Amino acid sequence: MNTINFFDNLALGLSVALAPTNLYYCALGVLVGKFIGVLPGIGALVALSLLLPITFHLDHIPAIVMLAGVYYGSTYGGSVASILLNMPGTPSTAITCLEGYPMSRQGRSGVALLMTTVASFFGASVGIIIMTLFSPFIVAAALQFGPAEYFSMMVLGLVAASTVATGAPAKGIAMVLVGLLLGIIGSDIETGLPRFTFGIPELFDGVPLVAVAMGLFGVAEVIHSIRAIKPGHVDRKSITFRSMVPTRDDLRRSVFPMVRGTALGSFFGALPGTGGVLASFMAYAIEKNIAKDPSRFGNGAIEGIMGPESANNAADQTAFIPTMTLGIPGNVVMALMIGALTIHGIVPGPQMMTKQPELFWGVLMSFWVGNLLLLFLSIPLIGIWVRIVAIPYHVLYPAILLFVCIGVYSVNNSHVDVIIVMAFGAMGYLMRLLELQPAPLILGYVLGPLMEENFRRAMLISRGDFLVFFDRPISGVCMAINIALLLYAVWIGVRPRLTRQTTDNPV
Amino acid sequence: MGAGMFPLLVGALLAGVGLVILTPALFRVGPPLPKPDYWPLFIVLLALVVFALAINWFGLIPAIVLLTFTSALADNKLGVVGTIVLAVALAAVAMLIFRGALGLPLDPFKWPFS
Repeated sequence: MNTINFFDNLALGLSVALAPTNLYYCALGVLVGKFIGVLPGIGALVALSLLLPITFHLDHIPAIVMLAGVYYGSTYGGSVASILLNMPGTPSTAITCLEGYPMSRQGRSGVALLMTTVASFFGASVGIIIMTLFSPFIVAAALQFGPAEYFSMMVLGLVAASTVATGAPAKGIAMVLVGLLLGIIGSDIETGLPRFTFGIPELFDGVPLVAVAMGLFGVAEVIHSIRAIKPGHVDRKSITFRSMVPTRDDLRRSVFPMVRGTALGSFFGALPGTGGVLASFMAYAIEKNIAKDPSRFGNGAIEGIMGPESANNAADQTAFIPTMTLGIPGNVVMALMIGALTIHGIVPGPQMMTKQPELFWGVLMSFWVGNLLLLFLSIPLIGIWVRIVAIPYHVLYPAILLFVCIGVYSVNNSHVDVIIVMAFGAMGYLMRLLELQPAPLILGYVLGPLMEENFRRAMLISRGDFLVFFDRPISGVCMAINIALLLYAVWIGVRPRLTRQTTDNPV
Repeated sequence: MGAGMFPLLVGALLAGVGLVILTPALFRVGPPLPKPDYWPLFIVLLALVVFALAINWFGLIPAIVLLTFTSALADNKLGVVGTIVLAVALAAVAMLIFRGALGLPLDPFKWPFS
């Protein structure tokens, strides 16, 4: 890869990102994302699954540009609810409540809102630069990968997502496997044999991704939230443009937390299974630990919002690296992104950058456009966001249900699909009650067909020898990490029982 | 390596993980099973069925109105007037977005019995 080529690609990307259609859907995506992020209780996942059906009617580039915009836009918006209501707008801004809300109580919500926007933009910018610089190298390496490497890396993504993320690891792994089985439903790609269809013709093409995502995230979320979310009160008059001006002390305290948060976020965003939530929690913990006066934390220390807010936005951007270079999603949002690409007939993987440079570089450059829009929309429109945050949930949820229904119906003009969503909604609510995470299930569901394809190819090449996954160096390293993660999960499961037996009385 | 190999592997693994979750659970006293919130659960699922049937028979706008009224039953905070206002607003927004901006072929009204 030479430099001239590199700048050609950036120019190509910029021309794609600035094309009117893409610009329009980028703006629409970040606005919807910001809007939904501001609303407490509706996160990026619900937003993405709501917009997924619309992408069927678009070209693949505006589709991905819009979905990506919703994703990082919601992280910008999430901090508004965290700061003003002490209720996280999205999971990765949950930690912002700890310092953001106390700042709000002290009448400093304007400063907090402005500074988190700056931190978000800084984190995201660094994330985009890292993606721009590193992706070509990853792609160059990945073009050498065979099916064995792909299979092992997908397993790594799934194992990491189910064991490192919240909840019991065994339940996470079980959900991944259920997702893989759901993904198998339909006719087999190679032989054409129907699998798990029970003779129902509607199932021959598989269970639609839109129905699964909307049921598990959208409908289940609504059922759970109807009685759980209480309306918040916001003192609108306290937020004026003058109140947003930070003091010299604020600025001085903000710089290094922002840099540290960005570094953490960039790193954890690119790793499979981790991401903005973990990065923001770690950024907060670090700021608290290295502070000269830790007692300020919990009482509105600005370091405690700058670190996490730059971390989660940096992670949002670097999360695209494995997705766009390897075609392997590191988290569930990226899985939906891959799902949207596959719907448009694009095989996600390293060949995307070489065969479809306008997709790769166009989407990348649209991140700049989207983040700039967010930076400049967030501040002047602050009055609107403050008003939105106070919309009561009992007005919102019928609207969410309506968007779910029309969205699903519009894909095939089939009312049966709405009934399928209902079934997945019931299943999602039940899973919630039993503390089974829906995210690993979706990951398994999206990766299932890709994994099976690579698994079979690897088996064909090796003539049925399972050792092929351990022989080759990259595949072997992935498998070693998988085994280490699984052992770690077993240890997490066994440890509390062992310590209980030695310290407490047996139950 | 036929069509059944991968499902068999995944199924076997799932059964194994199931045993791993089940076995220790038989030997400990856990918290009671969580109780589902039956009313919102029932209403939301019902609202989806109502929408599915209504859009198939009567078209988009009746489906929106019926969905709004059904789902509003889940918590009665909105009142009749509020629900009517919300239904009209949602119908207008949906027509604007889905028919206007996206140009989807959704019939606003239908009549199945003619």
